[in-house]
Amino acid sequence: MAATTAPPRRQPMTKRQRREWIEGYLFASPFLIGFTVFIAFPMLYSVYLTFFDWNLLTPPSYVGLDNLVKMFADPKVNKSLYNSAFYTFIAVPIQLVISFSLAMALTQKLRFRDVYRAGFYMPIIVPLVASAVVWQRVFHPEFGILNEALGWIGIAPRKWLFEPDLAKPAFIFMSFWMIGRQMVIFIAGLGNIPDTLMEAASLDGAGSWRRLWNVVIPLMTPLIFYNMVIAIVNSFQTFVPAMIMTEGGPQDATLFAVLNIYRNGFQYFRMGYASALAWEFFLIVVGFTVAQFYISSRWVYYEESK
Amino acid sequence: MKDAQLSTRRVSRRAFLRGLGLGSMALVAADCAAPAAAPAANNGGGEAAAAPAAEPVTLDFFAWADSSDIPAWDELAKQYMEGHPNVTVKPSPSGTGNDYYTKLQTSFAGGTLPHIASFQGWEWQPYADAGLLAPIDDYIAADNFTAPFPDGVQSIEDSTRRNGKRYLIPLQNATMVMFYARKPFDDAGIPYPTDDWTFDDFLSIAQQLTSLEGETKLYGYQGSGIWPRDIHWIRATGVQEFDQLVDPKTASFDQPKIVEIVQQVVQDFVYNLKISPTPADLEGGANTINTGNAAMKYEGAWFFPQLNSPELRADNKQVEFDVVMMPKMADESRPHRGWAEGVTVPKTDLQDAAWGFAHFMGDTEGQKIYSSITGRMPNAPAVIKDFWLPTIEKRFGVTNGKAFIEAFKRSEVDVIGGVSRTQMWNEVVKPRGWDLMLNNSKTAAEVLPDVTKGVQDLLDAYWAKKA
Repeated sequence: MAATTAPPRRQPMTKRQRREWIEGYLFASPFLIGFTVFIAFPMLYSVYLTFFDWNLLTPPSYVGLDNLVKMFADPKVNKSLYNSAFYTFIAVPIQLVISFSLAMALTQKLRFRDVYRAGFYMPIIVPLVASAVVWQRVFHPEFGILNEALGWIGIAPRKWLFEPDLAKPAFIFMSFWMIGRQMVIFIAGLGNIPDTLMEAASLDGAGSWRRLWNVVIPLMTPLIFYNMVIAIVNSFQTFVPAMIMTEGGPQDATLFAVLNIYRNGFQYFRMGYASALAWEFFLIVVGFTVAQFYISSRWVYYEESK
Repeated sequence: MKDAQLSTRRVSRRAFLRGLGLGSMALVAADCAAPAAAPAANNGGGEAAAAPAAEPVTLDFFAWADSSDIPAWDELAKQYMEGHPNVTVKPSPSGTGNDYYTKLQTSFAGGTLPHIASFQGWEWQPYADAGLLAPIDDYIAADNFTAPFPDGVQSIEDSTRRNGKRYLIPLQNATMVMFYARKPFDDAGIPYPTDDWTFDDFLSIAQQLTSLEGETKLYGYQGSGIWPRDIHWIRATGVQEFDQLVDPKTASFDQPKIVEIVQQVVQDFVYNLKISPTPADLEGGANTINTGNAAMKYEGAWFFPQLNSPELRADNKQVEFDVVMMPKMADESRPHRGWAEGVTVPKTDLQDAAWGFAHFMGDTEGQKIYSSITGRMPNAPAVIKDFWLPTIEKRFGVTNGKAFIEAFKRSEVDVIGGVSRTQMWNEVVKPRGWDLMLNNSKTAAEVLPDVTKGVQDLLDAYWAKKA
């Protein structure tokens, strides 16, 4: 007969433990209630709304899978997802290269280094609406500084925000203005690279390029990965510039996914359809993020795990 | 740590936690208590109606928030409260454009109905269809308040009445005419246009005035680049884009007359005749009538303060201007674009009291206050003629204000119905029509059949759902 071992009996909570347990939850209750009421409930309610037609004025009416069927056939949805993907996958790699390069430059011993750092970070604290208005002026076909600068090297002025082929590249160009946060994170990471490693590499005969490629970049991969994940999520959520500068035009060239969701929800008051779009978009972004984490094990170097 | 100290701290923490817990529960209870859907209609009157007149009443006024409107609402509320000490009116300026309606609709959905709400003439209909607004016919009859609803003005009928019942109290008649800056005409030695001018006259003048050489450009006409503002040109040909302007079922942008005029106004004015700037040229407010780079522009009375006012004159920044009716075209009735804008009374317990304030705003004294501050055209012909015309002449230098009266008599709405004009524009007309023409990549003949199909699809989907 096989001997069986009874599972250890769970000790009943003492009065003091129970009181601490209750106190712990009470301390956490403001967050728990806020999260439940203002985030979790609306999110779950939007799942429910996906199956309804609701204009906010009359009670929601059940439409089954109509919203989902319509969503997959709606050319605006495909166009907006394409626009968001195009913007994200072109803008983010370039943002990372620029911010990393800037961080490298601004960790050198330069005069006024802190001024430069503050200057590059400054756009982050400018409200997005103000940035959009500023960039509208930059891209102005007749009086914009961009056309003026291009004119110095013989490039004819372009109507950046009015030509479908140029509007997205213009938005991508504009996104480089907002790389201060990535740059600061890279600067912090670069400061943590041990001098001993760099010296050891130098003693082994590694030149500056080799040290960058074989020492600095591998050690920075966790931060590159972090910045990449955040930048992709943020880029997918681009909304304010398109709303203010182009209203999604010309010819829907800057109709990004979030703008399309906003329009359906708060301009056409199709809350059920907007909920379906929001969930589709949420799943796409989560999917990309999960994929990045999965792939990261192949290229991100975590010192403590080796 | 001493026991006494520990004990004191424990008691204090308990008290804190108890308070916190009670507060949190109160928060949840308050949240649960909030109504989840718009309240059911009441059958008029209500407690306030039955209450004695002196009982204190507070009216929430969900108000349109153009910068010129805000002081007008405050002044109207102040004047009304002076005459009605028991009433407190609280105007809540709540944005403009789509932002305003987003807030308003969300407010209705949350069950916090205002007692009075601003509306443009084509936006309140879904609220009335949902039974959220009080019909005002009985109030109008009881007060004999008919001045803002003159007979025979189609735009007022269409933008204040639905399914036989009146809902909107107009506070202004929005009618658009041609504005012209005097200086370009004076410089070129061209006589100012008069109300009997024709489309050919307009084209000829615009071409003569246009001068794109040299340092400063001057365009004869500042085009709009958007369909709603090109609607006048379309309708003046004698045809319209829909089978009917209220609750349309059929779209027909591809009629030959529409194709011809849209081609001319949207594309040829800009790229062939070059009398009008491109949207890119207009970016950031450049090349406009305001900057002295355009001679004519199609606008409404709300535009006066941008060109000329005592304040601008004090700074010597005014643009001297006047107005004229839109030029004569094929349709001899000369339709002008127009609509009413005003307020509605949502169905609440205080709708009688709300009607009192709405009536005050729409009546002669209220209209004088409102139009004096905003420059907007009042709702009643007598006030327009006897008060507004002299006022705008003095304040803004407008000498031909009667053009507005003639335009108002002929005014017709853009389109009203379950598919909003905004949706038609954003989803179809702009990306598949106007953008392509304004980029000079396709002609009206190429894009308007597709626009017709796109708008028809929206209408079909709406009516199918309705059925």
